[in-house]
This record gives sequence, C-alpha cells and structure tokens, in this order.
Amino acid sequence: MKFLCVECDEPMKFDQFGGMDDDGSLAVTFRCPSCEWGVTMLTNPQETQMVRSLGVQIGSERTAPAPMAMLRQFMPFDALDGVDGEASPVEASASGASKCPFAKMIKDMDT
Amino acid sequence: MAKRYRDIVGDGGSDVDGQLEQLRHRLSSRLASIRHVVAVMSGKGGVGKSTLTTNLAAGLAMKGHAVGVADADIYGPSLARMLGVAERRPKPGRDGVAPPRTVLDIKVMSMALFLEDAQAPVVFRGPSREAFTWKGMLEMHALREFLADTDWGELDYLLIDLPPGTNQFATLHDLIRPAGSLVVSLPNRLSREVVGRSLVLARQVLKAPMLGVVENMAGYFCNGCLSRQPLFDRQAEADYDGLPILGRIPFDPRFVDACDAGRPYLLDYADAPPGQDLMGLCDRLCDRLATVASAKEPCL
Repeated sequence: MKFLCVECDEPMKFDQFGGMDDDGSLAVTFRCPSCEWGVTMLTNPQETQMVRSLGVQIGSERTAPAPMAMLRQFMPFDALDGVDGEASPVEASASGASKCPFAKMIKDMDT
Repeated sequence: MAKRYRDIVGDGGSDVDGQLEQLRHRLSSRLASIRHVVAVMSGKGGVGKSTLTTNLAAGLAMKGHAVGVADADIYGPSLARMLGVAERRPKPGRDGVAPPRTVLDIKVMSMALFLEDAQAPVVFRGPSREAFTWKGMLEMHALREFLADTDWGELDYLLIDLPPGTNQFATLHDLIRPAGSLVVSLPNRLSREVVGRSLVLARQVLKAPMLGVVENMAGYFCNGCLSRQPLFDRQAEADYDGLPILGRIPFDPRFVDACDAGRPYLLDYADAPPGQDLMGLCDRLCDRLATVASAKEPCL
C-alpha cells in the first residue's frame, strides 16, 4: 500500500501515528513532502485485523517471527507463557509483539 | 497521468513476497527431516478419522518407527485427549516448540494444547463482526505453524488428522504436498457418496496423490463371543474410483473407552481381531508409501 499526492505526483511520507483504539481501529497520517497536503488512513477493526492475520510484518525493520507467533498473538490464552523451556533466540519477540500491524512501518518512518 | 504502484520504488521495505518465501522455506526445511507426511482425510464427519489416526500412530510406533501427529482440526481438536497428552503443554525450545510425547514417544501437536482448559472453545482474538474476512487466514496460519514451528525432529511418519470436509485438505495442499493421503469412509451408501465427492476434489481438482481407503466400522466385533457381526445393512459394493481399500476395521466398544482414557486401543488390544486388522493396515500403509517413495508405482 502506497499513498500518492495526485497534485505533486509524489509518494506521501509518514507524518503521524494517531494510535490504535481498543476495538482495533487505527489512524495513520501521511503527508506530501512537496506540498504538505495530508491524508489520514483510518482502518476499521476488521481491516486492521485482516492485515494482522496476513502473518507478515509491514515495515523494513524485521525480526524473525517466533515459533507459533500467530497462535500466541491471537489465542486468548498463551499456553507457552511461563512454561519452562529452552527459549529460542527469537522467543522474546512473540510475547512482546505489537498488536498494530503497521508498527514496524510507523517506527521506520518515525526515524 | 498519476504514478502507478510500480512507479514508486519499493514497498516501504516490507518485502512481503520475501517474507512469504521465508515462511515457505521454514516449512519445507522443517519437513525435510520427515520421511513420509500422510494426511488422513474424509469428506464426511463421524467416520472415525481421529480414532484411526491415533491407532495408526500407535501401530507405527509399536513397529519401531518414529511418529508424529498433527491435529489439523483447529476448532474440534481431539487427538491430544485421545493420545493422553491433553494436560501437557508444548515447550518453547531452541529449534521451535517441543511437542508433548505420548507413552509410545509419539509427538503430538494440537490446538487443544493451546487452550486454557478442556472446556475452553477455540476463539481467536479479534473483532467478531465480519470475522469471515480474517478467520480463514488464521486457520491456515495455525496449521502452518503446527507444521513449521513444531520441533518434530527426525520422523519416519507424520500423520496429519484433518477435519471433515475438504476445506482444510485444500489448505494443506496449498502449504505442502503430502506423500499421500488416506481416505476414511464407512461401509454405507451415504458415506461412500460423500467421500466419493471429496475424492473427486482431491484427485481431479487438487491432483493430490492418494494412497487408499480405510473402511471403518466395517462390522462389529463382539468381545463376548469373539465373532464379527455386520454393523450396517448389506450395502452395494464399495467403489472408490479405483482406489485400493487398505483396511476394513470392525468396531469394538473398547475403542471408545480407550479414547476416553487417552490410551490408544492398540496398546492393550493389539492381539484382538480389530487390533490385528489395524496392525495389518499399518503394514499396508508402509508398503504403499515405500512403493510410492521408490517410484515403482505412482500414487493413485
């Protein structure tokens, strides 16, 4: 997904993360670097969830997904949490993963 | 004319295609250490797929093979209970998630192991409205993670117990290509008809290699008089589109007790006639897979 300023024919850049509501709806603002025209992408909970369910990370900074990361993210009970085991190097990224599917993108654009 | 998607270089760095390729690679790497992946399927529910899978796994393990079982029934998992590991938890490890092992050292992965207790339903977190837009994806990922993220180690056989219908079977064939599939049916017209329909999809649409058919509840074994009685009225001759029938397993009420106890029937009754039939089925399954693997004869 890319946003284009029609007037300037320029790809828009991330401007501001408006946060994710408890129901999963999301607001992200993009702005044209030439004319500063802004547009806010608003997703409803279903749209946010649909992107989350793709199982891919949006943005350039990625960590290898932890084993069973999707299951652990979407099941109401984390069966692996607190279970003694030999933690894998990427284990921490499962429980600490953001629920926002665009978190990586926003972080990228923020820096 | 305004720029199009391809006119703007990159996709923000996400490399979604690359990520999907990584997921595929992770799956194929994991399955590389498994000699035979076998799907147990049926178009029809209630034919005893899970009972059969449980006892096939037990029979193969009793013959000295390294066996794993993946329960692909996401919403109605039963294998963990039937194999006696329902109270156990998978453990995070260095090379994936270590699955619980049964008394016969069968490795088991099931959605039931991720539920808080035996009564907890499988409910994915997310907006309940229009859930159809994302639920199917999560079901696919759950199956993918069972296969790719479980530390199966070296296995001779990985049995995948599929839910009724053909949806999950089609998903499985999108993810991997099992060495072959075993089809479970009952010796009655309705079951043969429904199973026949799923066979058409499996063979003609998905081009899935099929190993053969098992007719379950093929008669009733009386443990009192040790005789085998018909369970259904006499039916027309079985015709499964030319697939060989690898076994006909009679019903024994002790199957039910064994399932409830979390102990495969074969552990205690391998010498009973249904047990002997099951062990014979294991032999024929191994033979079919060996034949297919050596390409002497293609899967049907």
